Amino acid sequence: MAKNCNFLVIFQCKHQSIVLQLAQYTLRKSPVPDCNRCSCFVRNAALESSGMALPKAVKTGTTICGIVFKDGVILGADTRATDGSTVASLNCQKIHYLAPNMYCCGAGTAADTEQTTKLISSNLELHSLNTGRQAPLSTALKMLAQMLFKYQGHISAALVLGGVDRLGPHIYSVHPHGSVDRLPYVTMGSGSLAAMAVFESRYRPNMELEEGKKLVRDAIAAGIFNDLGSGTNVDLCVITKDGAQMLRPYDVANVKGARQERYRFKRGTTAVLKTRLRKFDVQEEEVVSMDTSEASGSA
Amino acid sequence: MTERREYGAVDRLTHGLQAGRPQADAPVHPVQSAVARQERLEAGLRSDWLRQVQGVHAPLRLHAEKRAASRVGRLPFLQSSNIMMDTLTGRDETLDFSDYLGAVDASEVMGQPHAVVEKSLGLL
Repeated sequence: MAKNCNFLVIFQCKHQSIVLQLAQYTLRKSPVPDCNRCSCFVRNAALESSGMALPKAVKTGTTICGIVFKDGVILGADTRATDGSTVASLNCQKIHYLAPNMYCCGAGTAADTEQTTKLISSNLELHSLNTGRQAPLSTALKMLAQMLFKYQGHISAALVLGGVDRLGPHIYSVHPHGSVDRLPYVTMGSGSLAAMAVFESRYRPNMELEEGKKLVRDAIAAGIFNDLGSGTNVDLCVITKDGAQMLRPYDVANVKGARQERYRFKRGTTAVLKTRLRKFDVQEEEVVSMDTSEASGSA
Repeated sequence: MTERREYGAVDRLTHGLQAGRPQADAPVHPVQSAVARQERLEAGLRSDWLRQVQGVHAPLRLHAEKRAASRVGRLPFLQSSNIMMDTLTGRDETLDFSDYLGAVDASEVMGQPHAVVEKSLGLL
């Protein structure tokens, strides 16, 4: 049981371990208490060297992609989250909100993509309140890329950023170490090669909306059916200058088979040999508790 | 780094009694030093930009104000909110991981309570 407890503590710790310790060591903090000397990182390293297998972070072995079409951008993602070789979540959301005109798909460690996009989303809101205008896509891109570079790739977040601002529709891909690419179509994640194969053969500039949605759906489906780390549903997000529309799920590609009949046994399948009826006299006791503490009522 | 002799010993006469021991503020993770270095570089970039745009007086004045803000005259057991420093560096208008993670009272490891309190009060 003690071993179990350790496991739980470390599990909870490992997910946040990088950013949690860094938060503890920032300049803003005044006296650092002694317990930080035995920090999570040091303890985890010691346990690992003594032979204990540390739990793996929940990753989104993923297929995410984005294209630019005639009126805007379309982002697509699958919905499977994996924990090693186990499916941790069948229907997780990988398209994250950044701003009303910007969404970001995330691949890599699930906690890292979630926390990163939430932080940048909050910073974008503060930024637009400060400047009094809607932030362009390049602001979000700079924030993301500079933050990921600052953490030197330890934040394992590979992102597809897409949106429409006053300069038009754009799609960017951001890698965990902080490099960015601006392209008309991008794919990321473990199923990126399958999705990119679909894009390379069928993408054309200035597609219509329905054609674009079908293309992204097919690219994600290629990842779902050919990559073990991606699965279940296809989520889409269509962003135009009029706003963003989340289609979740756009396509349930993997429907679990429905049972054809009732597979229960009929009554009488097992023959009854003997029947005996016994009557029980049930006596019930009801316990009424009295408040005998000193503070109750008048003494 | 102090020079180590045979069996890892350190010359305490030259380097002090605390030499060779793991320091309290030593970096425990490679990202720690990377982040600190990046923040230094970014502050330097902002300072250079300010010099080019407004002239050499601007970074000098800002640096003087920051120096004044960092010398908070509080008693040992009273912690400062660092509001002036945050305003000068711009940290009051951005969010960082340390704004919602890493609160000492929510730490999952517990030190010896008496030692922690004494350390934070400055008695230890």
